[in-house]
Amino acid sequence: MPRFLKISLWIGMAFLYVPIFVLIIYSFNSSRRGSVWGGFSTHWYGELFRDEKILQAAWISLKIGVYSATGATVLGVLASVVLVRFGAFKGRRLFSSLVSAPLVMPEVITGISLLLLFISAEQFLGWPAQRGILTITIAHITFCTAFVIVVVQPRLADMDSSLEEASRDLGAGPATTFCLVTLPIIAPALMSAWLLAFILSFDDLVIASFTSGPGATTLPMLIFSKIKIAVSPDVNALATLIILTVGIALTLVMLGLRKGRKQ
Amino acid sequence: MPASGPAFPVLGDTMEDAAQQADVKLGQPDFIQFKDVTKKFGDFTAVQNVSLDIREGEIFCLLGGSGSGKSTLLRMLAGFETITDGRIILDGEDVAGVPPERLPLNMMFQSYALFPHMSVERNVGYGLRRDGVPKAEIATRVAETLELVKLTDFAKRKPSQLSGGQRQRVALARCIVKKPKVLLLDEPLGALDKKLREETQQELLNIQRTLGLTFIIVTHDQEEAMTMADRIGVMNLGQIVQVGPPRELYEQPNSLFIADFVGALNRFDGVVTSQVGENAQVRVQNGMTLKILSPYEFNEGERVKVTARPEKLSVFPADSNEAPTARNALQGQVTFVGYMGDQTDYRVMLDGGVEVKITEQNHHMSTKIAIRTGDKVRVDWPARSTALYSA
Ligand SMILES: Nc1ncnc2c1ncn2[C@@H]1O[C@H](COP(=O)(O)OP(=O)(O)OP(=O)(O)O)[C@@H](O)[C@H]1O
Ligand SMILES: [Mg+2]
Repeated sequence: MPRFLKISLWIGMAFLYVPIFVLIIYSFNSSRRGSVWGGFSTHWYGELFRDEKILQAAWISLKIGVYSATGATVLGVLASVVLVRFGAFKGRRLFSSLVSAPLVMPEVITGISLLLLFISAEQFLGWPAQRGILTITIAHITFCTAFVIVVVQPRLADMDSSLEEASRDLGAGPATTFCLVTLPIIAPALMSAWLLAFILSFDDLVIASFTSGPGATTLPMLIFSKIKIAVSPDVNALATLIILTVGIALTLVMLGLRKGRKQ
Repeated sequence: MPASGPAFPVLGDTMEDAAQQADVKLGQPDFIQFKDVTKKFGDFTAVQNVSLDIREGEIFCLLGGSGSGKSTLLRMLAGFETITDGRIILDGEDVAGVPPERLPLNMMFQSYALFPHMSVERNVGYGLRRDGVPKAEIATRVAETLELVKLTDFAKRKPSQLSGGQRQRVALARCIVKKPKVLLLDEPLGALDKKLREETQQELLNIQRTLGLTFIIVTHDQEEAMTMADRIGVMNLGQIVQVGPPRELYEQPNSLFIADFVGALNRFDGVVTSQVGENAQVRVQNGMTLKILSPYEFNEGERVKVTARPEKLSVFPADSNEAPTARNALQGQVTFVGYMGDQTDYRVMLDGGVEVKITEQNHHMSTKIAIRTGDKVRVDWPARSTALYSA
């Protein structure tokens, strides 16, 4: 590799990862003041697990992540099947752009519009009575579905459709075929899509802030409110744990995608 | 005068043979009926007004070039494509609107379409499980079928751990284990090398005979169609051009297209200079005159296409004292000799300036062994086995 490219690569990597490294290192800082190094310590990690608020927020984020990832995966798979297998139905192009619009929609807009929707739904239908985990989950499903489609659709399109035809030919109805042939074959992509949706939901701040209500503070919301006062070392520790979780999940996503492609 | 009538004179026994071949098969003659079937994809007509009867227990080959509509025709029968126009009757029942899982036929896909996440055994048992066959019976039937296709040792493997030929046999086993009345095979041997193809053709024929199935085989390999089929239907541009036993297609093609498509062919432009009864004289390119027997009458001066199969012509050394075996004995010079083992291909530039392909079987090489490129030769060109088509 030419020297120039090597250097640019390292600069690029540094640009991306030095802040994260600094954060990880400072999470082991024993000093209370974020900017001064006071020696190595895991004190803040212990502190973290004693903090009721943080644990509760983490639990809420986890629940919302699981619910929305699951919901988004189901919807995303259905949409992908429609897009890939139903041929050139009328309005396919429109449908295709509509489902992927949330990918590029500014989060603030998505957040505001969902907030307005929930408020008017509450007025006219009396539901949802209160904003909280449910509304955040619904909001997350709407934008995560788009990402699920991005992951699942190509895999489904890659899959030889004669596999499904063979299954039909051998006596399986459409639903049985989907469960016994299609799903197992696209399973790695499904896993990846689910994890991706989970990550997106888990670290979303903007949309959650708009659609949340009293008593439903997610982890990113809590962190954000904390650093508004001061960057405290326990936030560094928390962020490090989140990076670790997301890192593992992303690795699994990659592995899943690669496995899917190899088949 | 037909626009392009069948003009190959019949060699006495051909027709009888064909008739006999067809009679050996028992079973309903109209087991599968295509009635004026048309398939359109948007504005594009993939299959056009196909009418065809297929007999129970026969091996029927659909032969045609790429894009001629063979797969589409098969897929309509299997219930994977809707029929735009016309009807397909399978064993007395209209297939229109019947979902593929309820049709009493099975299809072997060109890509084999084996389920990658299931073992060979589970692939083969898949259809039986869907039909709710009891577990014990599934096990025995799967084992029997795997034995039939010689795959018993591979039962636990995944498709990705098999060779091409083995996958092909799994696909076959998966179909026949269900004992369908009809087996559709879309280019079943396309992915196999020549030797394996020939072996597998024999295996397929054996299995077909053992189980008494009706086979419809799609192929674009005319040799494969000739070896396997009881009857061949040749397709071109979505239409069936001719249907008949292999021999009939080869000896009595109903058009220049068929003659050219099925087997090798010498073809020239010519003009009929005279015709008395069956005896026609045709002047070909560069002034050479051929004596040809044609059951069809042509007008004097009419432009025609002259065709002859390479194996109907024979070549002798120019100084040979063997008497001519045919009415046309033409002089020429060898331009190419291709020794193929069982046969030899020659190209001869006739003195008239026309080049012909000649194929000789290598069982009587004695006088011909010496023929080399550049030699003067005599080409015997029978008046029969030459066909005329109006141009
Ligand atoms: N789903 C489809 N939509 C549009 N056109 C199609 C579709 N399926 C087939 N065709 C067209 O119909 C024609 C016939 O296709 P078909 O697959 O039947 O050909 P084939 O004879 O099986 O060719 P091959 O030997 O290459 O498999 C082709 O021109 C093809 O492009
Ligand atoms: Mg085809």
